[in-house]
Amino acid sequence: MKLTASGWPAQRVRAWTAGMDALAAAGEAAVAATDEADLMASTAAALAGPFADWVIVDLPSARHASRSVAGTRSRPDLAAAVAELEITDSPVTKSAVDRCTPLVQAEVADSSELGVLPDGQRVADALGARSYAVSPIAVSGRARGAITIVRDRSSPPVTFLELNVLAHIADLAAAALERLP
Amino acid sequence: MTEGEPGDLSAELAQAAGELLTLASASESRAMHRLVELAARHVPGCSGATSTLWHGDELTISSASHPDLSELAEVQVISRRGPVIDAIAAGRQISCPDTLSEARWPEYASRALSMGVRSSLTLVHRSASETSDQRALTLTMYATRPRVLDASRAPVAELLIAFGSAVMRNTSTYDAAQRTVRQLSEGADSRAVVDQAKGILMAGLSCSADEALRRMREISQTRQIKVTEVAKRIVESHELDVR
Repeated sequence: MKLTASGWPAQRVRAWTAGMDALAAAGEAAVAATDEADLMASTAAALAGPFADWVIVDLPSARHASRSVAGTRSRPDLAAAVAELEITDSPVTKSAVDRCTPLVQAEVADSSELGVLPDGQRVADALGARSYAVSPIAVSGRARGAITIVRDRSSPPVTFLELNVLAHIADLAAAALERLP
Repeated sequence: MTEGEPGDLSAELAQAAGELLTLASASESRAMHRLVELAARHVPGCSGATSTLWHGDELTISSASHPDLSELAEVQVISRRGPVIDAIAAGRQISCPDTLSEARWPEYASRALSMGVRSSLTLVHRSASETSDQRALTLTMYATRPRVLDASRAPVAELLIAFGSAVMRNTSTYDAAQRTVRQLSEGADSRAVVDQAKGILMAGLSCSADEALRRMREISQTRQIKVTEVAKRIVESHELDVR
């Protein structure tokens, strides 16, 4: 089967390129991470950009904060508020982690699916989410955490192909976890 | 948090089944949409799902948990081959363990690969409808990794599709009942208009009810319109006169 240059529309090529860039950046973060907290923060920062408007990395641990959040918009207050939540506060993240299965939502159907902030505001509304995808970070078949990417209403919805890329990114984070102390 | 712990699964499945059954009075397309959402959210390994409803050889409704996946149902209809087509023909589940090495359905495999689908499992539930044509409901689950969706995933999905099929039968019966109610209601409305027109004619022409009805029938036959339509026009023109 030949894949011609015109086989994919421009938007798809752009999305694929952004996905490959994100994969490379997440790979660098995974290689350079010195501990789990560093891995969380650097992975979130590496993925925020054309691939995701907001990134949430969950790695529950007794030793450090269990969540890191990064976004393309400068909203440190919002990022800090979302970082206070846990996997169990987000039904979709919990579903992905419990089943050890990536999932994608092209259009947000229920804005409480990403959790609810202490002030009652729904996370999806606060982030302006249009679509999202979650992939578990699985080590030896066991989910240790998850990476959630969120696209806002100015960005195209997350495609199934991008979910596949996100699953590979989560595998890189999982590989880093195996070597970290 | 390992995948597919039995306790978690049965609790989730019970909840999913309950959610499906609450849709007994919903439309078929809504019930199918809920079915694919539930599969994508509750079946381990399933990152997305599509469902198709067939009457005989005709695809009547399809639904997808993600818009990209709806193309996979379409490509099978166009190419006339694919796991859904085979599942319906064979009446059993069809697995595609790896789209990269899949040779049975080249159109399906290449489209699936282009959207990041690496494996799929298709289930089918067949039943005879009230009109005795064969109905088949399919549920296809998709994974981002090869060999993720094998027969071990089937029991949860089999239960979901069985519930889905039951709901579809209920919605079909419900739709038929709704049509009957609508027809009866329209019939009652028609009788009310005819009675009103009869009253107007009886008062205006000083005639009996039978005579009024006979005259409306005459007009109906002459102008080749329904008696109800004649009655409506009489009522409308009477209302204009009164104003």
